[in-house]
Amino acid sequence: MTGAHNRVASFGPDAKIRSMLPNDESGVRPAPAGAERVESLYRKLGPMLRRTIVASFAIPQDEAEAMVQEAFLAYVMTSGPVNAADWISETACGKARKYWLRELPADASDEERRLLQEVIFNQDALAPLPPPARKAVRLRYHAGKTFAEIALELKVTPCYARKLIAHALRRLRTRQNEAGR
Amino acid sequence: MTHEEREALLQDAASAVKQQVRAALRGEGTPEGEPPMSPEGMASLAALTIRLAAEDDQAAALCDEILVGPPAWWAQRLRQRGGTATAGLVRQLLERTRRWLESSPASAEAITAMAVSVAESLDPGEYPPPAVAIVYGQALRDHAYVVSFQGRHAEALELVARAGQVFGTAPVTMYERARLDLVKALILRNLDRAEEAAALARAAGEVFLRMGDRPRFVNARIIEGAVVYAAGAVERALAIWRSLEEDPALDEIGAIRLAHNVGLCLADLGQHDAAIPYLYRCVVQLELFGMTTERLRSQAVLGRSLVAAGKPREAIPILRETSRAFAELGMLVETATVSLELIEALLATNQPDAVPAICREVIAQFTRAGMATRATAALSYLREASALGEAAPKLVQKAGAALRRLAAEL
Repeated sequence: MTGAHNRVASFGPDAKIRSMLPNDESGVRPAPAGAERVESLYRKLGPMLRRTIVASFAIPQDEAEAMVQEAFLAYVMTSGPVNAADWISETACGKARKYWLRELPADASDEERRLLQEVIFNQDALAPLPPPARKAVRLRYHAGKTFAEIALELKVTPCYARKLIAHALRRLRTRQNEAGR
Repeated sequence: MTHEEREALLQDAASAVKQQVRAALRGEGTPEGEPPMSPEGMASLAALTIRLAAEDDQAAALCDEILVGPPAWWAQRLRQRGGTATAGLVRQLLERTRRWLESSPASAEAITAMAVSVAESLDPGEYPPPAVAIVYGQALRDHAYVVSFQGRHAEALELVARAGQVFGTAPVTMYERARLDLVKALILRNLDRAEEAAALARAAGEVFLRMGDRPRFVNARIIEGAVVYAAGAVERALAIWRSLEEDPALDEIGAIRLAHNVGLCLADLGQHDAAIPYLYRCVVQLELFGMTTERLRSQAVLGRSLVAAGKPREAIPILRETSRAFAELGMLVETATVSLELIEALLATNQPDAVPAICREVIAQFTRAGMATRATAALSYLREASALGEAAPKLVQKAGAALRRLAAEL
């Protein structure tokens, strides 16, 4: 509908003559590209987008891959984007933002909140942690789970889950201090 | 860290991702040996694109069969073709809506209502997760737009709310929600909720810009300008519209519309010498594109500016032709408004003899259209002017003010 017609605004209280408006706020355009083009874009753009999301948002690779996948599926269904790379990247990043913008656990302490600020987006900061501690931290601060829920997922007691996270935070704190010297 | 601080950090991260992706697409810094995406993901995407292409083809043929004859038959015809409910059919119906919107809004509404009905009947298990939510939300959004187009704004707002709920169930719909916000802005503008509408249009524009859809960003800004203009903030509207004048995303017609809007603001602000070149340009270009109604609107503003700029002789033939053409199109209020401008121009050039006839013609047009009662105040001033045999400028101005009040009510 772009440019084909003109919808005019209704009269304002003092407007003698109407202003002119674009009129393409309706109508879904066909899929922006054929199947071959989308697949080719997926092969080329998908891996690099996944990698940059992992690096920039400190999000695990499997989750980043799911975000990229969903962004591509949405792109196929959407209604008229013009720049595929920007559109898909922004959509995937929107998902990544939501991943981080989940509310912190209600019982999070000030220390936890401060540490989260320091390690957010820093994949390297979590890398030295042993895998169970890394997973516990992610469950706590990315998924917003309680100690009881983390314990259930890690098949440990809630008390141990709390200790695991406390230990991880101490370790992160030490590394932060060392890096600051 | 506050929510806002985290949001700012995340926005920076998103910008970094896009920069790296753009660089990689240009061939700069593409890492060797990047593991490919999972075969399952590839298969799922391929299946959806192939399926949609096939559905679109089938639905296009079906729409050609169904959407003929009276609109009242269309839904029944669709029901008789059982088993045709697909996402592709929803998309094709929405595509057809555009062809009908200007010429027959009621037909357009029949189509979007069918699209909503088909989308409601889709099985979410048949498509990968965001697909059904996206297409359903799109159908509700476009239905809202068409309903609002016909002036049923409260109903349109309810449809917008439903579309928002549907998009809210899918995590990757920020673009669709931005488009929904723009539709909502257009509706709120008609409900005199200007600030809310302007904020929605502005925010939607920012999303379009981030997502690389600059033409829609420009449209959103034009709409934002129209919202604040309608609320009487002419200088603010002018600033918004002027900021878009050199935008590369403006197509030819978009640039003409923008020029009209800028000219309109300049005229409203009394800067008639600056407005006139804009409006002349619009008139010439709209004539070339065969956009008659729009050309007449530009001509009307041009005539008004010429009179105000002390060039009534130049204005008279323009206003005369504009008034006649508006009358032929049955645009009564526009005809009357331009006729009053013409009367002012005639009086300014010492040609009062033609004035009573113009007054009588305006009165006759309102009477023929059965609108004489609604235009009582304006017409009484015109009758007085006509009876006097010459129109006093004050009477003409009073009639003009009364007509503009009527226009605001229509």
